[in-house]
Amino acid sequence: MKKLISKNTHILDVNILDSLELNIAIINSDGIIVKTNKSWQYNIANLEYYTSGLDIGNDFLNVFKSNHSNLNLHEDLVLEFNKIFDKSLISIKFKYPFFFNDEIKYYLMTATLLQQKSLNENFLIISHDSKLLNIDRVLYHDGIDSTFKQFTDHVKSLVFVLNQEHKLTYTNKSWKIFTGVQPEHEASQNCIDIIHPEDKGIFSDLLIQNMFTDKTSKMNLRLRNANNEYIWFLVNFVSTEDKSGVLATCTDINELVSTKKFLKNTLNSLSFYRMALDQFAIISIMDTKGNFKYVNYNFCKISQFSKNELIGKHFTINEPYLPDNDIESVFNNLLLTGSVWKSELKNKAKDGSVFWLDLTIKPISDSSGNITEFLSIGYDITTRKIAEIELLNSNNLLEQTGTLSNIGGISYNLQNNKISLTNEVYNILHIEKSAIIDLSFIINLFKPDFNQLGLAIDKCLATGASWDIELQINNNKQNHIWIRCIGKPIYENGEITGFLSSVIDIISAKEYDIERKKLSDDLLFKNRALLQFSYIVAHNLRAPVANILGLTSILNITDGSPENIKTLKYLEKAAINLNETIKDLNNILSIKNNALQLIDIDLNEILISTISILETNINESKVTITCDFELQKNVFTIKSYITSIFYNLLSNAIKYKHHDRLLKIHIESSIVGDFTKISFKDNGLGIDTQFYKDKLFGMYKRFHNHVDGKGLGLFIIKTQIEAMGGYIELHSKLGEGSEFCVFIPNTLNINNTKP
Amino acid sequence: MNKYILIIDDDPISNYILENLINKIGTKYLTISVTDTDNGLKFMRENKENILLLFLDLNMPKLEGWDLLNLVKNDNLITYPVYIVSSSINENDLVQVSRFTDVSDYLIKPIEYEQIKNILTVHDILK
Repeated sequence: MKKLISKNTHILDVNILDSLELNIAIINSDGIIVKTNKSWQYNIANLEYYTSGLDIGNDFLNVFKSNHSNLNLHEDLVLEFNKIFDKSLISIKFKYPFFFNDEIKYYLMTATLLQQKSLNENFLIISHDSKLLNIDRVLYHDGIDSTFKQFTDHVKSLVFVLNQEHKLTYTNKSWKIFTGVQPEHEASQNCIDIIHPEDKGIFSDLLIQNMFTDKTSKMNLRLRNANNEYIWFLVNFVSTEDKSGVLATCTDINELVSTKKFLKNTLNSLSFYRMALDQFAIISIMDTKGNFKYVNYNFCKISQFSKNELIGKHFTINEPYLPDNDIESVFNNLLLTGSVWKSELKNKAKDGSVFWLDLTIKPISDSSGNITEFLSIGYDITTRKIAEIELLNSNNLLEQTGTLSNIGGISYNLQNNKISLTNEVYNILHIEKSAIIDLSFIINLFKPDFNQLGLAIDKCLATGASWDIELQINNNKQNHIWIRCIGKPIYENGEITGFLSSVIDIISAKEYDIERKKLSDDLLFKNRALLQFSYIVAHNLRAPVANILGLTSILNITDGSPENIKTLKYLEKAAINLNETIKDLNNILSIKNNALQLIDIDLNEILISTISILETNINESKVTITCDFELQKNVFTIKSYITSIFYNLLSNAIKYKHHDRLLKIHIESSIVGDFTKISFKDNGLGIDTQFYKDKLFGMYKRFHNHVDGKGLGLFIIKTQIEAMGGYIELHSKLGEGSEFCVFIPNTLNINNTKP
Repeated sequence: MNKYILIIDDDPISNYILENLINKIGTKYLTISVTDTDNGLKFMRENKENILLLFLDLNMPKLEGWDLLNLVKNDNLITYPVYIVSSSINENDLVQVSRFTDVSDYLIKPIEYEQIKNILTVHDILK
């Protein structure tokens, strides 16, 4: 009581008073009852058999006076009440008399001072210490009589009296209904019989220790009802005044006990759930700033951080990544809305490796609704996610492969009639992307040859046989689409659940065949023409040129007029040029036509023979030729080509020497990757490679005006080098010199590529 | 009895050039030019013993130089050196020449003074 009062002045709140088991009335300093609680109203004021009057608005002491014949007692009480208001006494106990069946009975009451600070008024609170116990004891004061019986039969609580032999000497109406024991058997009944076996021990102990003294005791006991069910009761024991027995009042607390039990079970299962969750889930708790307050073992394990490294750190330590949102703004939004957030989230562990979580974050609020922390529960989905990404990639790959090879794919699921097409199918069949692909669409598509496809599918369903058929397609646009359709069943648990079929555009394949044939015919024709041309060059063109040359040699050029002599000289020169051109042309044509033998060729030998051919020119121009074939002495290729390359490059170098200095040529071989490199370096005129660029090795290109080159040399050797599977490079600076680098493959692999 | 240097070539200009060269160098024998294979073959049969040297062109209408050589191969008709004279620079022709062991050399037109002088010297038919 005191505790309640001192703790909270709001004790006067009716709701609080009502919730108390005590019977309470509040009296102001004038002695008027100003407030009563429900217990008071039920147990004291409204008992119809008793004199009432202890209601709100009445003078408590006057009611006492009218009920009590002993005026001294009244005066004593008035004095004691005054002492309380004077604060010389804190509380008093007194008996409050009332009439019951024209006899005086007493309530045992306690009066306590209550100071209501806000009103600065003194109130007295009257309480009846315990619901019935003291009353019953008071009532029992005179032994079991009709008054006691009437009173106890009126209450819901079970009331019984035991003698020292533990025999029931009295039971009330509620008890009789509860136990279902017939009144005639009651006398022989031992109260212990209806107590739950587990509770019998403490019951006996209590009786031995405390009973038949003035002490009161309380305990929870299970008592058996008429249906043989045990019900929990709070039992108050008090010995009778003559100590001949024990009076017990039992209040049904079964609901309370079962609620407690339920709560305990709930708590148990909750802790089990938590344990289970802890085992499988990745759990963390963050404060409102996003710093970790708690992380479980799984969280540490997957993130590779220790508990100490994580607690107090911001959650971004794991670099969470969302493809289309900023994780921190998501978090801030949660803080505002208090909603639950769920997502798959990519994170980084301490060593930088990636892990994926299926994450749920729930803000947790206190009783007033303010978010205090965030609970995050996640599951490791890394394996699934990686598999998903790989699947996506392989799907992409499949699509791309299909596009590259012009092969589409159709799948049909028998269970849900779902049809899937790869992108390439849309291209091949000229279907619009927006088309709704359902069964009727597909049936319409295959309409022209549906019987054929139907037969194939029927056979596949019956025997599991795959099919390979050519079908005409109706796409409502073009009638001439033909596809090759290679299909097979899809099995699931040994049952055919659908079909998979490739779609190959055979019209374009056919068109391609025609195109290829046309092209090869074309080539064949051109090749024949070329052969013919090469024959004409070698014979028909060559013969008259040879004749002109022969004729000019017969003519004595010293004869005749100077004009004739000059003309004849030019004629001879023109014939010589024409002859050279025809020879070159013949060379070019024979490169294309002839498959020549490959042999091992000594580079030094080739150089010596080339020098001997060009001996006159070399001596005339005082050319110095040096060579170094140490790194690669031989090449395995076509001799006449190598000879031609040496001859052309050396004679070119001599032709385009610089007039201010003596020509020096250095030839050197080395190995570069799969190729033998032969470098021809001179200090001649050089070529403006930037200016001529692509024209360098073209037919009839000349880069110097002062020498009569026909310009076929470089074109010829380039053609010859390429025929051998090699290539040629030129490094040159105008006025300084040139370096031609010839690369010839070391092996006969046609797939040689430039390093 | 006269000994002959025989030239079989359908091209009269070519024949003229070769005759002219031989005459310039000088020989005591007669140079005979024939411009078709029929007459050439006839002359070869009739004067088998009296031919000293044959200059044979390859590309002729009706019968090519090769055909002619094939025809007379089994008759032991040729007991004298044969020089193929051609304006052809085709490699295939060169390869074919090597198959005829009777052929002394392959001369590509225009034939030069020095070449003929060497041939006449080798066979000792200079003047």
